[in-house]
Amino acid sequence: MNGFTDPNHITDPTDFKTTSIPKIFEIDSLLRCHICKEFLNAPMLTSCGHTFCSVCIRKCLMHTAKCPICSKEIRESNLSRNVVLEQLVTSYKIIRPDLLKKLVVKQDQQQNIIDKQPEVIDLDDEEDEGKEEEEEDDDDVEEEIIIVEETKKRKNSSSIESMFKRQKKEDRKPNPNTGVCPICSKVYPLEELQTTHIDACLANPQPKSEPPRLEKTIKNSSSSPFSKSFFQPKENINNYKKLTKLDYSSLSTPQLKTKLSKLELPTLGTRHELETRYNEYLILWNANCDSINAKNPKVLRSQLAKWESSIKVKFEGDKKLDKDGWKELIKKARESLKKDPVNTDNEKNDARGEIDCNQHGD
Amino acid sequence: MATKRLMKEFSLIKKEIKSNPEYSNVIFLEPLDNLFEWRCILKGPAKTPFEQGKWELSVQVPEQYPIQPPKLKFKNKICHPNINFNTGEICLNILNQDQWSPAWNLLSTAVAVLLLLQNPEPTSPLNIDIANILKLNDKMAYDSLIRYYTYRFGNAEI
Repeated sequence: MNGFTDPNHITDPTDFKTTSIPKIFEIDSLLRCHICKEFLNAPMLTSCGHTFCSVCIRKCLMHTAKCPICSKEIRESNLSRNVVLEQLVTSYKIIRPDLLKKLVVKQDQQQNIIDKQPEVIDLDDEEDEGKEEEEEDDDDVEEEIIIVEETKKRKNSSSIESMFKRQKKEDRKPNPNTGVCPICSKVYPLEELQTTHIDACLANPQPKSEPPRLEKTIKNSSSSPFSKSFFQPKENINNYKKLTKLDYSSLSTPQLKTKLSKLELPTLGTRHELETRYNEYLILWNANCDSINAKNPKVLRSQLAKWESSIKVKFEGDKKLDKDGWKELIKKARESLKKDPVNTDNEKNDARGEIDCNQHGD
Repeated sequence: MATKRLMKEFSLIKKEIKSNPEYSNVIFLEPLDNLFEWRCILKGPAKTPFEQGKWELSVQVPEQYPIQPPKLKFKNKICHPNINFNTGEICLNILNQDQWSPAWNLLSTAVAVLLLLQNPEPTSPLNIDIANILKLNDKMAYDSLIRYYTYRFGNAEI
């Protein structure tokens, strides 16, 4: 099961195709990286005007110095950060689940539209209904759908507004049990702030970049995602210096090892392993430098370790899921479909179809 | 990166393959018992001599995907200027490292193979005989030979 992600967390733009505003599909897909298909993480603008995750485009350029979309020649040194977009992605990611929840058209509502239940038809002339041929009936249905959608939109927009209003209120009246840390200006529970946090914050200025796992804090930062970079620009940018590529041919193995140990990386393994380790860390590190919310080097090192172990497993030819592992995965996916109210019946059918097909495939 | 992206592609394919008419000739595209080996079934595009035929392709996804391209091979025999008759190897520029782009995905690759069926490229052949017939512009021989092989071998099942 190594490396397999939780199927619950797989989101894609088509989630919005079944909602009352299917156009959000476009926005959702525009905010994603063309390489990893995830939401842009530390987006970088190329000289040809396309945008990718920092990690993805750096990995890609290591192989071929071409833009993956227009295949123009580009260079890693010409990449530039796209800060507004990163903030946009951050705030969109936070509202996405709510947005999806509010906009999803319930199955029975859809059915109403298709079945032309009286409530909906009342909007039209009843006389026409009986006389018209089937084709024109279809037109009626379309009009009805539009009407229903419009009323829904109004309703939804008002509820989205109220969502924001509520948040603003929260900002004005901060929870009495929390306080803002004077050093890293993040919100913590008072108790933690008074006892442990300030000491930790003073001792190690890095935790700023590590967002505390508190929902309150995330919400607060979401209401003003740009304020951070506007008011404290120097703190987040250039805390870390970029690493440079190494010229391996002129570097002896001990020299390479000292380079690695300076970065607190393991120095075990063959020469080839050392080089790939440095290359991967170089990409992770430089991409991290591009992010507004740069992570602690410790996090990067654990990411590197994870990556390395996943590679090793594959080298040993153990990449295959055994039958049980695969079945387990399908079971999980099925359960998540059941649990998740967002998914429509349609998808469930698809999932069933898929399992059937798999049995044939075996 | 590869596993996460493949999971994403799989969930997208499940939704798109039936609903989007663009993919109507990709009948089946699903992983086998791991995410790095997929099975694909293509239907011959209408108005070509491949019409009515169904071919199974094996799709091998490298660890470095999407930086590196997937490897596609026809499993049942197909008669086409750019496909090796015996091995099923496909000569398609986007399947080469230098032409591949990480912005492509498995579904778009399958569509690219379908486009190759419609638009053969006789200047870089893997099946010299049929390529020569095409070069000589013998439309009737080309169509009928392909139709024969489609009838004979183009019968993969889901």
